[in-house]
Amino acid sequence: MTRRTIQIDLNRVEGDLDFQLELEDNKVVDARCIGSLYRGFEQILMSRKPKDSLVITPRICGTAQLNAAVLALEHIGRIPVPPTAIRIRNLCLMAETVQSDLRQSFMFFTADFCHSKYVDRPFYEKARAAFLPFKGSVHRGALEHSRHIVEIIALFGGQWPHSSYMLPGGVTTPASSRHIIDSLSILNKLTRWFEQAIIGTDLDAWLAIQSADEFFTWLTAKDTHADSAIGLFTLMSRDIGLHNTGFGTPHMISYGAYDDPDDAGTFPPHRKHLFKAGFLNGDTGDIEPFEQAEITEHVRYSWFQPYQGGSPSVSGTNHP
Amino acid sequence: MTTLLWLQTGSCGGDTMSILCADSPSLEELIDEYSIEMLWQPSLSIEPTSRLDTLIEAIIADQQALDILCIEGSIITGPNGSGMYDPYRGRSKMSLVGELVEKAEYVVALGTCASYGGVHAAPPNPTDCLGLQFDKQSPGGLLPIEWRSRKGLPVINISGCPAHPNAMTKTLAMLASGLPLELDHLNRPKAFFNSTVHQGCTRNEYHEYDVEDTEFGDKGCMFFNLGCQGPVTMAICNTELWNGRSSKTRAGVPCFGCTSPDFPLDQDLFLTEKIGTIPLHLPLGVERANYMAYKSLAHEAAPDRVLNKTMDP
Repeated sequence: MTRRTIQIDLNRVEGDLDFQLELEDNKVVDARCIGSLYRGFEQILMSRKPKDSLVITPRICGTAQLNAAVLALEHIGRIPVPPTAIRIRNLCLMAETVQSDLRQSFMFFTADFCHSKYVDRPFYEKARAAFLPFKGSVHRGALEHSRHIVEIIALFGGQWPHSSYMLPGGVTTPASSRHIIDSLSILNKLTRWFEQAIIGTDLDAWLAIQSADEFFTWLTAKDTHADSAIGLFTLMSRDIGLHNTGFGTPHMISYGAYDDPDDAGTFPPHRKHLFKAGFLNGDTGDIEPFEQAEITEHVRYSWFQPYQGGSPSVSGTNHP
Repeated sequence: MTTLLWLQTGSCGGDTMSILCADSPSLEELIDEYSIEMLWQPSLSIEPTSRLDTLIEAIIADQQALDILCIEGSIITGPNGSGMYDPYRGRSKMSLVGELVEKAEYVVALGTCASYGGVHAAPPNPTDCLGLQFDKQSPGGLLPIEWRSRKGLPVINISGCPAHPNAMTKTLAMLASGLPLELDHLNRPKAFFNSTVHQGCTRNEYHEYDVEDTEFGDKGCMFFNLGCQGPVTMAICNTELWNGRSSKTRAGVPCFGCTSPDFPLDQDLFLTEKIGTIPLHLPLGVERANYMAYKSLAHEAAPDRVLNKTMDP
């Protein structure tokens, strides 16, 4: 029996992340993801005023954890938030998600289709024309349009990244007529580009696709569909067998997203979400309730000193 | 062709996210029009990380020219001077940076962390981190204050948390085209740091007539009560708008002074510290007695439209 460890480095991730695989006789028997950078945010936050967390916590990552910080403060302080403020927060969070989706897909992921190992694949030239960093049409389009969508966040929050416009109890900027029309203008322009370059069809037709079968029918119905960014992404991924590779667990969990403004009267964490939380049972296909308590964390899987109990939800002191 | 290497040290990646938002010039323009060759950028490079190792070896061996070295993130020296809270292939990033700076024509610190230590250096500074050539306001960081790069400049500090996207790309464009770069006493390019955040804030008229907000979500000035550091902070936020649209203070968020070496201040960031009823920190260079006299006269002179806060900022 041969046992070996493989180190996998990843670039184009937001942050420092390594992976290690343990192989026994060429079969993966263990895998771990390793965060190797320590900065000590918990210690930095101690003894500061609560609202300072709205400035400090987002510096964990370049794309901001502002929403988590403000919800935590509202949870602790039982601070109510008006529905309009929730709508403004959601608008900005959704704009950020669109930015992230575009960059993640068409700047970080699809660049790999341009790798020289695929030079003999039929898609190679199209991949380079679309996805090559700073040269490919989709890469450049995603870069440019991901800049535009975050202008919505700048309207309400002053800037992106790193603004602190969510405060306990609401947001700092109201939804004026100018901001609303400006936001619509930004969104309309992005949608026109998205329809032309990313999905190769209009948004209503795209949203009408309800199943994988309908998607594949749509894909081959027209050249504009197959040649769209999503079309190329699909065809290239399947050409190299990505759809058959790398399945781990079939189960998925989600904490949900976007507080429901109609449930503004409920304090976090029990407020309803527009995107529901849940546990997808990959064996049955059912969506079951999400139970945070069933996620175990133990200090032995970290770089921190061990302590009694070992679980941060009981008592944690994060000293390296 | 100007070669550029971008490394992240103790970083959140915010300056990378910020520079992707640059539009004047954009990153694409830096590559197309200014002939900048991005040897390596952790979020953008298409090659695997083994390419970075090859590049580093070649640069250290003087086989690969390095025109601009960009560092994003605090320089972490802990634990105990080893720098191993921020490792790379079994060595500290700190030691790697120390070697690479000696090979670069220019070294640019992107963001307040690389410039002065930044948020990770806030008390208790758990990782003993600092900036490339400053430790908060104290001259000398990883490198002594007298250190100069191959082109004879100190580390160029484009501070900000994150640094302003166009301050970063304009500086890189200037370096690539050989335009002269004048630095201030904190080694920041004067072009982007010679005016205060207060200049251009759309709440100025409220400030002028001493109409000061006491709660967030209102239209007036936030300097007197709500912690705004605009009048004491050097940056272009209100003269070259973020994302082409706005700034913190225009959106009702107080300026947190993020381009300053002492950011983040060790105090309530949303509240103005006062001596009695008067802010402790006055606008840059202003004398206390003069300021208070001016403020009470200003309030007396305030027209109703300002007192009634009818103007949207």
